[in-house]
Amino acid sequence: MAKLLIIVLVQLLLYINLYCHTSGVTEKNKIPGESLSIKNHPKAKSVNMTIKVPSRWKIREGNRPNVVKVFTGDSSIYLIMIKENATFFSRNEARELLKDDDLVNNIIQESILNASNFTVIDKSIVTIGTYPSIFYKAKVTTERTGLTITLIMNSWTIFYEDKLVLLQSSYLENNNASLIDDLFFKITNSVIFPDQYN
Amino acid sequence: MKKYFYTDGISKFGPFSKDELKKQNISLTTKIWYYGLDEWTELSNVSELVDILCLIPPELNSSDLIQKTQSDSDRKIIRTIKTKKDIHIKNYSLLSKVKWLILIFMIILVPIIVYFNSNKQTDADIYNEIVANSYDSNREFDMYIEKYYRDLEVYGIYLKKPQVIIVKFSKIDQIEKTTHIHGVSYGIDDDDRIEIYINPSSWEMFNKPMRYFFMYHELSHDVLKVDDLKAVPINEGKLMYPEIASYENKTMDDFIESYHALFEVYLEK
Repeated sequence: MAKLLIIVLVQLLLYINLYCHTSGVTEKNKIPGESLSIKNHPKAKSVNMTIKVPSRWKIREGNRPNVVKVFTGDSSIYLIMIKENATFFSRNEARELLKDDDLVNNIIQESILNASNFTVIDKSIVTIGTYPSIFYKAKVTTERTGLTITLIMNSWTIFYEDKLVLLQSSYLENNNASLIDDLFFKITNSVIFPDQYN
Repeated sequence: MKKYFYTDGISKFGPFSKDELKKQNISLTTKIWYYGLDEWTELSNVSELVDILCLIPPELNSSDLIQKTQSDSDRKIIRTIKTKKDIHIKNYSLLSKVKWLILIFMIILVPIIVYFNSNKQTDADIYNEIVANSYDSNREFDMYIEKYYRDLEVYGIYLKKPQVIIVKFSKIDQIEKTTHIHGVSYGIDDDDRIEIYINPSSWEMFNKPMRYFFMYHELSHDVLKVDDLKAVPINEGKLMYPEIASYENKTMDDFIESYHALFEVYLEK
């Protein structure tokens, strides 16, 4: 009887493990892995930033201008993009600036120019690595080789000195959205700008 | 009783008793005669009339005599002459005072001129040494200049970037007659020149915010022509505070807000 109970228990654990793998989100993925630094990266524009990437994900260089790094895994993509801002903003000044809703909407629109159709589901002003940032979640519909794809995008635009650090993540709309969103939030929450502590 | 006569040189008057003679208009030089005297003799030489001599006031000086004998109009002329003389005396006195003032002024001014000239000479010597000790580096000083002009334009301050831009390291520590200098700018009197020399040892010591503070500080000298603030506590934290070495705990936020404050003040002016 005890042996039977152990066999059932083991099988049950195997099923749970299999379910997690097929759904694309594992317990391991939920916890970001090793820290990645973009210090001295040629596209980083002197921004010193570290971020944790899920250990099973692939890390590659960005092909497009301003895209520093791209992480892929579990049918998801997460990229780091760094752009020049118009000028320097202190954290207090940026917070004041981001009280202007029109300005925030403009920044959001500019960041998803390539999308033919998008709907902002959620947006807010948050703090990442102690810097004021715009967060938005949008449903983006794009056309690729004749196929219409609907992506869910989570994006953070960080006002770092005289730079805009964009962290953009996207995945195909599916049933595990909340788990993937949670993973993206954890990745973003691992961001550190070490220079501020020197 | 002895009787006395006197003469004014033309007429003779008398006879007078001694008491009556006392009342006459006579002077020490008035000539007297009495019976028994061989000739007309000046009063001052008549021994028996010594007591009269004591009653006669001393001779007036020539100007008083003139005054006494002049008519009213003459007196006025004399007064005028005297007034002119007074003015002349006063003028002379004023001139003398001016001379003294000039002398004092020169005594003060000459050492100051000598001091500043010697300082100027020292400054020129230091400049020559700084230039002689300067060298190009691979540091991206251009980045700071680009950002500085970008930020000026964001504030609506449109200034033409000069043709001559010299930003170099210089071994300032090796120069005599200097204390530790982080850097110097020499373009403050020249609109067509940015000329900044940076002490490499300071640059290595500076963290990121300090480097920004330093570069924007020196560029503000050369581009906006603003001077250092006084090194007093109220100015601590401002961009033009001269003791940037004390800014090691400042953040980029401090730097950003400090240069924003300077640009706003510049715009107001």
